[in-house]
Amino acid sequence: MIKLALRNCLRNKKRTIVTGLSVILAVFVVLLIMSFMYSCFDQLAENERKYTTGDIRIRNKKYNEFESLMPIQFYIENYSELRAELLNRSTIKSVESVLSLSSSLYRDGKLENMAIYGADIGSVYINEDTILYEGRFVENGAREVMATPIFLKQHSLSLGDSVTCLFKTASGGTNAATFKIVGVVGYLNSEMNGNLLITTSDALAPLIRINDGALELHLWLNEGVDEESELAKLKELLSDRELDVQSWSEISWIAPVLPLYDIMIIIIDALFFFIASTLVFNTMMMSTLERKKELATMIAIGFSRRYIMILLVIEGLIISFIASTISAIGSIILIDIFGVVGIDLTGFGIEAVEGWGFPNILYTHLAAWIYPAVIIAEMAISAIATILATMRVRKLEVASSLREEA
Amino acid sequence: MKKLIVLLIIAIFSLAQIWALNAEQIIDKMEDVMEFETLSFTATIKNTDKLGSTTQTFNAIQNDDGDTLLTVTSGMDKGQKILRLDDNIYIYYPDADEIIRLSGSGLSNSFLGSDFSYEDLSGDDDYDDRYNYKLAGSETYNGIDCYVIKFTAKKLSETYQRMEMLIDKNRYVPIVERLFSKSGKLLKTIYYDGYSTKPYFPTEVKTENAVKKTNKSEMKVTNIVFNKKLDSSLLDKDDFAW
Repeated sequence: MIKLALRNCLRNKKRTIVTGLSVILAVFVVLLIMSFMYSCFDQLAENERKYTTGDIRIRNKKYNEFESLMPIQFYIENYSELRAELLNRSTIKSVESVLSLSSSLYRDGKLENMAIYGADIGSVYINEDTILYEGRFVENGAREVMATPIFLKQHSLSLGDSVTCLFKTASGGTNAATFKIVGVVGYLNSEMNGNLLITTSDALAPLIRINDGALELHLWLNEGVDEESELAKLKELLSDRELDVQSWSEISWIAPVLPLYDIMIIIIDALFFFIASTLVFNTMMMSTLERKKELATMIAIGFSRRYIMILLVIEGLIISFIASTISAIGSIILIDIFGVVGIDLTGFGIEAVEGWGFPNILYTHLAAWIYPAVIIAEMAISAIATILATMRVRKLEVASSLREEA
Repeated sequence: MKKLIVLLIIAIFSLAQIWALNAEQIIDKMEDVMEFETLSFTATIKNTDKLGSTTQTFNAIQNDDGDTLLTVTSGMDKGQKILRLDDNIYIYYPDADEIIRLSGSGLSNSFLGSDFSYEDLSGDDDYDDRYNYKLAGSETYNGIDCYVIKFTAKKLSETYQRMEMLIDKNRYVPIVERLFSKSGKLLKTIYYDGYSTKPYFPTEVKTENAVKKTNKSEMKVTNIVFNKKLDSSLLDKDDFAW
């Protein structure tokens, strides 16, 4: 039966190609969308971890309690000592101080809103992964800043200009300082490409009156360290110091959503599969209608209607399997290419979700198991579509079909 | 006889009306007893809110036009200078290369994070130019009998659009000042106490924030010197930062 089915497929190449193309398109679109969505969510989660929390975040308890009031006076004291203590642990790879402040830019007698980050050199904000468009990185402790292109555009500034920024301080008052813009930078996180300046923690901390202090610490664990276990140990170690020690999954808005996005992606892809299957169904239906005379002849010479239906289903499965496999191979190649080159999402409206941590350059990937799973799913849908299309064979009138003009 | 008694009562009442002060006279008397050519003092401000309290010290000098220079002398913001000239505020921060200028609405900004605004601590107390006011009766506060004067700002640019002041009937000094928004909502209340000898100046000033009820500020003033010759460069926006 399989040989006969294969021969039937090859006999009418045009029909086979049309059917195959519909399957190729459906599988291709589904795999690309899945890749896009998984990659987007994975990068979103990675950005959250990289730029917002680290593996583990430490803050003053009262800072967390009154966070909406930006209570800078509740900072982590004796940062250097704490940092040394944490780095002594074999489980911790690095400790980074991050200061994230709302600020005002003073220009021509007016105050304009902006944000300023203070971070350690070597942290995710100031390292070799930071995109340097112009100039150079800031130096430790220097009264220098790096600006994003959006900041420069919004405030009509350029590389080399000086900017005076006002901040709230730990004393409850305000302070102002002048910085020189020494670099223009970008990040793979859309949230970090907004209206902001970046300098070092060493430069910013004294200006907001928290000498040897930090507003939050991002801890990065060594490879293979169990995050939950290390979190429990750190909580115990620091229990007497009015500090909140939290893991990424405790803080991040995306962590509770992550288990659900598999389901979400499956639902969305099922929708696309359904749409694709209607294409396959229509193609199969047309194929059956076209072959009425041929099928009537087969019934007339003794083939059972059931045999013919199974034959048609096998034909559909063969076309579906080959087409799905071709499509999957093409998808693998394209996804791998974009996994290296990336897809620049600026200009595709990524700015609309600024503040959410979406990547502005998307590097695609897809788990290997998904390809065979999609192929099998597509074959199942094709089989169902073919069975529904071949229901007509049951009602085929042999005599009138044979009488019809070819 | 009855007619005579009635006439006597009317006469006494009329005389009393003549002798009673109107709002303008009360304000004039207040300005008289508090008048100076120059003023300098040292003050400590303690600010309390639900997050805790901070204390800072500053020096102040002021001329009779209301031009004021505040210099923070201790605390985390030591070295900052705030100069008020007319309706402009100039702020010198040691870490900034330029002087920050605020005008108009900037006067309502907080001084050192306290409930005192720049307007509260500086400026011209010539109420005739800035407000319409009227006598609204009497009130006793802490055993002190006071006139109640109600003020309405003449210009929209005025920091406090409505005020109510309780003025000691004996000394003609403000005891309580209630500050309102244009819609009549109470923003804060300032209490004055510890007046020195003439010219009167309060050495204890407290605020109560009517909006953020956990916030309050207390200022204690010391080393008050009146009418000392001032270096004019201190009240010059080009020189004050040096």
